[in-house]
Amino acid sequence: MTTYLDLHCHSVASDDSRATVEQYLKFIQVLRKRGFTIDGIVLTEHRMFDFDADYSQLATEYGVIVLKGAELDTRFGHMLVYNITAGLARDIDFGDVKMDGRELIKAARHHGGYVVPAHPGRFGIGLVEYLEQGETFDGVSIVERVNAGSKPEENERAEALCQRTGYLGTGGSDAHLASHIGRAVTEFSANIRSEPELVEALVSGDFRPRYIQETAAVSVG
Amino acid sequence: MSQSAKLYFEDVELGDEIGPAILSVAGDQVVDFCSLWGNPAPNRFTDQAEAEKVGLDAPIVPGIMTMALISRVLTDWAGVGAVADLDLVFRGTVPHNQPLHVGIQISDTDQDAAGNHVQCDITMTGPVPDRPYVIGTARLDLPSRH
Amino acid sequence: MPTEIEYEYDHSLYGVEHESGPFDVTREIIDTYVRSVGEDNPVFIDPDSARAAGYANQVAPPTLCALFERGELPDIKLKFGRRQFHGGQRVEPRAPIVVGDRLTASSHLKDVYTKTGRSGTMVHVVWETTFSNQDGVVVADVQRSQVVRE
Repeated sequence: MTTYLDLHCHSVASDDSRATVEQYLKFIQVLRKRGFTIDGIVLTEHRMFDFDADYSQLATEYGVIVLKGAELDTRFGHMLVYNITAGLARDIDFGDVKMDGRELIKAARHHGGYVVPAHPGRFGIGLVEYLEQGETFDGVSIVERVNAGSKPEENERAEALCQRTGYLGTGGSDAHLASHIGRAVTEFSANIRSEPELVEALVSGDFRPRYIQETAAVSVG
Repeated sequence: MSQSAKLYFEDVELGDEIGPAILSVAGDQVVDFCSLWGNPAPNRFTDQAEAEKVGLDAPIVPGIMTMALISRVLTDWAGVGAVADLDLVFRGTVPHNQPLHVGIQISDTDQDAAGNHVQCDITMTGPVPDRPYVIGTARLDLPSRH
Repeated sequence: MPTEIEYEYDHSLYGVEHESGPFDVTREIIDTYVRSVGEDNPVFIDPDSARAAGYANQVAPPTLCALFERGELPDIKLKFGRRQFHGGQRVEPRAPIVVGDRLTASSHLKDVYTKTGRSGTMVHVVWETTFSNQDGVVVADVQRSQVVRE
């Protein structure tokens, strides 16, 4: 079974987003009516993780998978973190905007999570800049190749990075507005219904980024 | 245009796209606007040299003037008094004398005892729908036909 | 694990309302405002049209009061960065503002926080302001986010 997930979006819990979770889920109904396929989203709030936030009722009401992660600021750019556990939150200060991203990558793996550098081609803040400065990132093998909030040339830099290094690539909308949800997604070959299953699917390597238009021919389900 | 424009709650639907409205701001408009808050020209909004001093390539449109322009687009479309909340994030500098595209997309509709509410996503971009200069939302309170 | 970004500011400003004004809403201010942004609705440019539409006088466009707030907010004495820019603005109009109104503002510091972006590390300073008119009616709630860059 294939699962299409938007791996990068922000609700009003993030300072610069203006969309509620419910508005995202409502807008996904619009996208589905237009013939696009999106099964779920992963909320990746900036610099925080809310263990108590429970979207299961909304998820059921709208028929959308809602998972939780985070987008953390590090001295090596922003990093998407999936399957966040209490252990990881204990070891890492999510609000530290100058944390060592390499430590975050290690800690996440130790606690069963997974880190994907966000918008690596983004000027001034993406992983490409730090690689060009000679930094190395042993724990990285997947980056966000398609970020629908980035400039086209920034996504081209991300694609070139993947081609040069063999990194695998995910896709996400980086939505901060309801109508931007799902503009890019990740197509997984696996059936994903939880954060641990998402990590398992990332580790399997069987996924690819898609723009929303590329999901149009796919039957929903 | 403005006087006759009147929008009802039933006229809009989740997902509707409106516009873009295409605007342009000339330097003398910015000078005029800046005079309102006692920030006389030359300053970084009106003068090339002053702009360069603070690291800008060219003078820019002030954030609150950008907000006023977006408010105008909303009022032209929905009518006077419709804008109940306008919430903008300024992501990039807005240039003078360039086409500015203001797009509106309906992201939610809701009726309750307080009225008929329409939530809109707003973007302001250059001619290429690249990363927007401005993103945000507006809540419009509209009359019902019923 | 300590946060490496060092920035100091005056925390005593939290919980304190800063009063400013009065701000007189004159015909000249509204005329200049609407002219500079190309606003052409009759209620914003002509007192008679405004009265015919049921307003007490020529009406201010909904975001005009954001003008008055600028320059009136206290210095938080932030020890960080050199350059400032306007990061965000929110206006919630509550009641019409018309020519002849005399507004007062009450502002408080909502939040100060850091983040990183294309231009490096930034500190966001967020203020909330409520504007009231001469009759004590709240006419608008305004939020302003000022960003200080490295």
